[in-house]
Amino acid sequence: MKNWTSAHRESANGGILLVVGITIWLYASGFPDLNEGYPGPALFPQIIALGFVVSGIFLLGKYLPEAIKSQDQSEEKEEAEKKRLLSLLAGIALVSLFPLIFDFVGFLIPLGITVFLIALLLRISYLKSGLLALGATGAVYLIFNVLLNVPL
Amino acid sequence: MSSIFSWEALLALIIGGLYGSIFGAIPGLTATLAVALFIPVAFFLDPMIALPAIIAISSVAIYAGDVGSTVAKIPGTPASAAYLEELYSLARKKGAIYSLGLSAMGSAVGGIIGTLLLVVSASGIATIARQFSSFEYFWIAILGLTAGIFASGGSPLKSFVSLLIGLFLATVGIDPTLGYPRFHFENTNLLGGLDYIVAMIGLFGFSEVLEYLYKPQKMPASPEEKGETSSRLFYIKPLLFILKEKWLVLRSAFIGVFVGFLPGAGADIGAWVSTSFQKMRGTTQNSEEKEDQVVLSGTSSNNSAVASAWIPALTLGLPGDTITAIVLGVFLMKGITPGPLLFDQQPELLYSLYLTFLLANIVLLPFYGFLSARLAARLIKVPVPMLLSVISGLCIVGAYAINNNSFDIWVMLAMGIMAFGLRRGGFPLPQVVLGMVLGKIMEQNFMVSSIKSKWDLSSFFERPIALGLMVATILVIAAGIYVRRKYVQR
Repeated sequence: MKNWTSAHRESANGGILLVVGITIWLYASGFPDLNEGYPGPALFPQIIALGFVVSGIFLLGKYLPEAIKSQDQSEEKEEAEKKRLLSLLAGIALVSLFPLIFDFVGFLIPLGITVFLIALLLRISYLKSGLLALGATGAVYLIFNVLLNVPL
Repeated sequence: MSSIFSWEALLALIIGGLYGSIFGAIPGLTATLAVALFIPVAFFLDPMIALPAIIAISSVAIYAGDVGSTVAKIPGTPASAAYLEELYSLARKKGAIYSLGLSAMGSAVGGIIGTLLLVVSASGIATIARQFSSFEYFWIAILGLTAGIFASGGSPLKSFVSLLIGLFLATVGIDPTLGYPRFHFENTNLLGGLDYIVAMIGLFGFSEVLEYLYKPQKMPASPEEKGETSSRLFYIKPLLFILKEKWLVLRSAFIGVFVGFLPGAGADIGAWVSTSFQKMRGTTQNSEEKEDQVVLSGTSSNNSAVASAWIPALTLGLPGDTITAIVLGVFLMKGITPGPLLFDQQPELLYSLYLTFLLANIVLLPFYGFLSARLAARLIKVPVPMLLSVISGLCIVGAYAINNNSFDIWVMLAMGIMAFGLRRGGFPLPQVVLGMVLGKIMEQNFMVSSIKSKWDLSSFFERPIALGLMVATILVIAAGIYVRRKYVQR
């Protein structure tokens, strides 16, 4: 994987905004109009979509020519980049699984497990991660269930 | 009825303040939730005890939201998102005790000014409030959004895109004109729209965890606060700074009061307008205290609006925000009818309310503020990975606790992933929250005004206050462009 110049980054931003804008516009086209043909629920989403498209075109117009001319900069160590991405994806996967597990075993057990695993991903030792998970879960139980009577 | 100086009322104030400080400091728990959970208790209390407790809860909880900003970069309210970056950075440069002291003292002074204005001008402000129709609300939302574009100090285009993202997120759910469900993808959880507190937890808190997972970096350590006592750092230094910046505090508190009384998101717009103004001014100066000024401006505006939100509630019987909506419920529950007659029929109740506001700002905020600042000063010294792993747990708990709905954990996660992408793209995050809060107000009032005027758009420029707000918006744009051209791009 290669490092992008800021021109590449801004061009990518512009491209994404353009695609998002067009998608919102098309999706909102299916919303109904008010009586007598006046704009209805689609009006605001389409104004916002237009804003995205204009911003995207502006960024592309400003940075794309520069991005095409400029070369990608120094190569980064792919292995390190892969590890960083894996760590990020693992963090996302952990939290996305939470609501699924929660339906079966309740709130506090998956909370402790998630904090423990995220602490490991953040390169904290097993012992400290375990203590953190226990402490955080205990504090949450005390504050929410006991003190504030907010059921979890 | 008991007096405000009865031991029961004073105890209610003290316990209310403690309860508010705990709620405000925990991500996901808000002042509104704290007051809502207090209602079953309030039902059995004399109004002279219940109302002081509610005032103490809301005043302290709104300040305590800044503890979350300082430690975990999770703002307690949309208004505190306006100065989040500055407060977080200030705590790392000058210490948590000083930065939270500035926030607490700014809140207290702002709250006192707000209360005094409430006492002397409640009926006058209420008269102005009565002039506000959907046209004026539309323009005030535009003014708040415009202020947000220039508040980041970075690229206005990127701030604009962040606002657009927030505005788009505000369109999720039932639309305000036809009741048509938009962007819900057949998921009933999305019909009610996205909760902006859940969004804030993901945008600011969880994105910080993702950022660190992707690229562990050394966070600036909090400075050792040796040599000066905690009380000097918390009380004396901020108060001296407030004295030095008295005009800034007065201006911000006035903006907080005169925008904050508007039902809906008045307090948020007030804080954003005053911090935006301060950031623009800061760009023109070579001061080392720019961050201190922005925090002071936001926090004094934020808390002055707490008092002014009571103006429409007391004088017109209209809630200024969700807390005063609950308070009106308590009034009615106790057989008290809010409105102009309240001033004649129950003056003792009003005086005790005013007094409670003053007590909450003079005694409770500095007291509980100091305790929470001492705690925050310890917390920000915890190694970043350890703090972040606990923050990840708090993000999950906070997102879930708002509506007791596990779907909100996914919303929080989605917001965190989006914020991670936005940060890497150089887009500011607080503007997303501003867009989410003001989007609904802007759309609803635009559609109502347009339908009222049969789509004659010239009617948006005909009413004097609407015209004044439009001119203010143009002035903000002109000032923003001028400041950028003259000071930023040089």
